[in-house]
Amino acid sequence: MSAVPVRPARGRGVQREPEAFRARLLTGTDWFKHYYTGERVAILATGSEAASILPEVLHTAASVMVFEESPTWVTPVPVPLGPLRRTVSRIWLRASVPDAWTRRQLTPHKQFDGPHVTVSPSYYAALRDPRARLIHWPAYAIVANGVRCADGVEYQADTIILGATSRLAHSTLPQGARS
Amino acid sequence: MSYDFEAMLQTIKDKQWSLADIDWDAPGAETMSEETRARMKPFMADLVWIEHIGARGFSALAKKAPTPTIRDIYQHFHAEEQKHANAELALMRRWGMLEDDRIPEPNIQVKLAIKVLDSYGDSLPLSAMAALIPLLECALDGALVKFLTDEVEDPLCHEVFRHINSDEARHITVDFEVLDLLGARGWISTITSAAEIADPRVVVGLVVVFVPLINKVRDNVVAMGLQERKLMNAIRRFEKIGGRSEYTRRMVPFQAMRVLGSMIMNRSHPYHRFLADPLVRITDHVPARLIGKPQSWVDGLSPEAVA
Repeated sequence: MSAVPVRPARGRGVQREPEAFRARLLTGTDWFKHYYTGERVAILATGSEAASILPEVLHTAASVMVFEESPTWVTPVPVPLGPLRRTVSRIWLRASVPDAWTRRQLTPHKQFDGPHVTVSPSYYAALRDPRARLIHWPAYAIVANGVRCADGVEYQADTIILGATSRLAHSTLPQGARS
Repeated sequence: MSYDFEAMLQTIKDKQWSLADIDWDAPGAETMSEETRARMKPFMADLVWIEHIGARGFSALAKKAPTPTIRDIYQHFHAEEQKHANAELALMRRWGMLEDDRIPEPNIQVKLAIKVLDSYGDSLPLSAMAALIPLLECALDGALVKFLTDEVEDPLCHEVFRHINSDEARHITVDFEVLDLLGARGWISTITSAAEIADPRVVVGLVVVFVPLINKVRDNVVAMGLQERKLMNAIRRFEKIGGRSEYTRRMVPFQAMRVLGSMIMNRSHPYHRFLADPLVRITDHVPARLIGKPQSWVDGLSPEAVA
């Protein structure tokens, strides 16, 4: 796993002072101990982690952005038979996500994404909630107000949840990041 | 010595820029005259949509990439093309080309291309896509963008396109390295990749959709004052970079694109009279209703720097 440096906003066009980090940053399993009433939350995590974090956080948050790094197969209930899992999760995905483009983002790659199947009855339902937004662009930096992605947009958030297996998890965090 | 894709991925990550890095209200917008604005508006709208379609093309490539690193690179390129489209929209807004901040409506040829990408994008053969995209990038980068920066004085436009061009240079490098990698797989793979482009989906996708799309844009920019010599140079560049690699040279999709490129450039070639021009006229009359609703990636464009 390569560590991606978290850099402050680089004002290339305009020279700016580095801004103080304003969002709250939660790492590991810290997300479990908080309420998110009225907050905009960004989740940076792999598919299997996001599947457990998103439904919980969405209970209290005003809006949630999920930056899913590598998608995973999801089944609503544990499936005992190994070979059956993939089929069940494929059907479950087709049935729960009506939008073809979103479904494409949530489908793991045959070879490069792990064959692991996550059990989560509420992940897809949570993603369909109008307050939740799935963002498939690769995130490259955590800045003063949120997360910057390779599509050139800064996604602003009050709380950033950094999953333990996220690509950005092992990088140096910005100055003043509260945990 | 094989190419170090890992190092390229790291460079791509290090060279990221954001729309928020640019001061969209900086002075210079007033250098845009009323006449240039009216002339450039349809050109910019086409440019935005072509970048957006290019982004979708990279996304299709990411699904078929031969290694996880190349997939990661393509995912970044997908996002970067989207960023270019967004940045061009932000420029359009700066110059007052967007009515009520609405995204410009794509023309019928663009809509057809979107339809083909939605239906077949993920099943088109890798080698055909990998050869088509650098051709488009060379034409876009070498001719259209140069034309724009020659015509427009706004210093901010030049700054934005400096960023875009440095991204595009990396896209072209990787595109050709991937072609080289695919060509190096050996004769059996060369023959199968040649057979793959006879796939009806490729034929329909390329001939019925990309031929009229490219020809329409080509004629529009030439009518606006782009010298055909510049387009020719852009295609020469495609031939030259691809021709450097022995493996790329023996790839049939590359050779097919090379021939297609030189036919597109040469306006007196029978290709235009018998294929491209009639197709532009026919597609002009395709009712938009027939094409149906595009997938939701089409709604991803926005000139906003923050979300």
